[in-house]
Amino acid sequence: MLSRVYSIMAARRTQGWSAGPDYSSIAVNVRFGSHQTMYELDRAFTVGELRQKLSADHNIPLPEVKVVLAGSVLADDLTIEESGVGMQSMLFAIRTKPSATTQATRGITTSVSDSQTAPAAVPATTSNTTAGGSCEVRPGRLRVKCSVCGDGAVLVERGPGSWADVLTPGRVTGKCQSLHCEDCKPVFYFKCVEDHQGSVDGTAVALYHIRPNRRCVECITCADVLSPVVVFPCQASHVMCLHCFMEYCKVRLHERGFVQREQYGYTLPCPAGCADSYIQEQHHFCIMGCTEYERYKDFAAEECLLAAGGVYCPRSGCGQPFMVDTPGPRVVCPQCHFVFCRNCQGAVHEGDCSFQTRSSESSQDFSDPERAERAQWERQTAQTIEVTTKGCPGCGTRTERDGGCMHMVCFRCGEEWCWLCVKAWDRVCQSSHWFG
Amino acid sequence: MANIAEQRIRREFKEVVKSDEVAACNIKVELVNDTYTHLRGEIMGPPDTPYEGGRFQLEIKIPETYPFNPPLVKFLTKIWHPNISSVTGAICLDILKDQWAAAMTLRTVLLSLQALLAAAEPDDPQDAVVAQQYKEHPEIFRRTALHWTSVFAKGPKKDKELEDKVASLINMGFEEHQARVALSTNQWDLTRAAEYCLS
Repeated sequence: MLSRVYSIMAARRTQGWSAGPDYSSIAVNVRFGSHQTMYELDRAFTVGELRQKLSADHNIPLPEVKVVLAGSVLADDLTIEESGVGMQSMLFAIRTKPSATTQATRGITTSVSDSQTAPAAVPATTSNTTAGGSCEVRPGRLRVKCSVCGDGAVLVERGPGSWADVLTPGRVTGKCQSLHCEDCKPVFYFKCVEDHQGSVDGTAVALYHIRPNRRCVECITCADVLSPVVVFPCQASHVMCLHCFMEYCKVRLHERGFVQREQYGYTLPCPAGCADSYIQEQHHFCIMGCTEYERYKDFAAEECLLAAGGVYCPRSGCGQPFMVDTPGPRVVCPQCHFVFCRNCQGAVHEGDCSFQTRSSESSQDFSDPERAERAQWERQTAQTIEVTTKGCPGCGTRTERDGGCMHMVCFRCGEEWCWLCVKAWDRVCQSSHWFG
Repeated sequence: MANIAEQRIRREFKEVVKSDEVAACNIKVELVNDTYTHLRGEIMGPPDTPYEGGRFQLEIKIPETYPFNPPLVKFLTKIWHPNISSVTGAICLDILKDQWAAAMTLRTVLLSLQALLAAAEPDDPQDAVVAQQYKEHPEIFRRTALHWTSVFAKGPKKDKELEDKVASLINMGFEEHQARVALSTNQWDLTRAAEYCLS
């Protein structure tokens, strides 16, 4: 599997994926027990030569020293470059008993022929990079660690053959080489190919819907055959190239067309409208870039809050989100103490919401010119909103109609309503109100 | 964005041009400008319908967000059909609204519209007047649709009686299209149509 991940990386280099500067030597950390040493190694340096170095440095007979990466013992004839380590990668040296026979490999391999299951890319997520880190999709390196001590000196019995092997701990068994670990199991994880300074634990989220396009399937949107692609989890396994997927996400985000699904969060289905085709891992939406991903997270949080019965303070300049635990429409913002009506989002009032003029700030202090000017702006804004929009009869969301027929569908709550009647769309509207 | 839309439409345009349906003169599509954002479609009225033999022109506008959102399609040729507005040409068809899917193409849209001409859905109408006539006076509906096809879509079958009625209203001083709409709406009753024009 490791070799597959790397073959993808090599392919990407030609497609403009940044693979970092091309150094002739690589700085590699080698951990042996509690000792960690950094070696500056030439790319052509072999694992066998590294073993000799370790044997001499630690005064251990050569046959007992093994070098482990991503759950496998590396073969002697493998060069450092071929082994798949990158800048600042961690290799693990272990000492085996003279009698033990440990089969060396050329990296983790997979017995599964279905190339669609090979992991292709991981994002550099905001959680594991420094502040302001990138939200781009990058190729990933598969790594293994011990579930108990977290150490990478783990040998697995076989390489993972599918995403399920990688994502479900315990499917692939193995043994931690640490002397004190018992009942541990190997845990697969990914590292970004790029070195992230300040990364918390060096892990990145696997974007398992993004896969190499070995079967040369056309993108459902632009019909180009590109790789890697997003494969939707629908029955038809519809494929979308990364560029089209990014545009698809941006278009839907702009329209607020993502949907909240309990098991997957704020997500999107296959654009062909297939059943059960939602993107199941939200980090895939990082592909939109930082600004849009932040907006996505804001929308997702808002949807989540509103779905759970929470509200946002409607006062301009506040916008505090909070949960309401009191019955009735009267709500007090815990942040700015603005008292408002939950139903119409205006200042609190007696009687029916429809007779109220919308105002988010009832008191005006005209002695302060700055505040007076702002209040004037606020009033004009409120008036414009009042004149140009109507409230959805389902959720009260102010809605503007910029064309088309009178049949409105609320993006927020899904209510189908009539622009003329300002109530749910019914048979009368269906036959008489299409065009006013 | 526009690149994806344009790239898609280029492909779809070729697909339509090369299709069997074009060879059989059933559908047609042509460019209105160089940027592939505005196209002109044409569908042939399907056989065994009042639209048979008619050629119906369509305005197709491609939004920037195509193919994630549907093309904006309306009839340029006036048509008498429960799901198409006799005034604006706006179409009530699910795939042009919420049932649109990115896998659909210009070809499938044109074929779906042709299918809509063959099988109206009066319970989901765009034009309430036409839908009511379709349900309550099917024979009058058929003749009216046929008449509109011959007048606006170069349909082959003329209906002398209906044409004479339109001529009568024109003689009374009404404008031709106003007269035709009034008669069509009032089940071709001359007196009621005249009153309708005056109201």
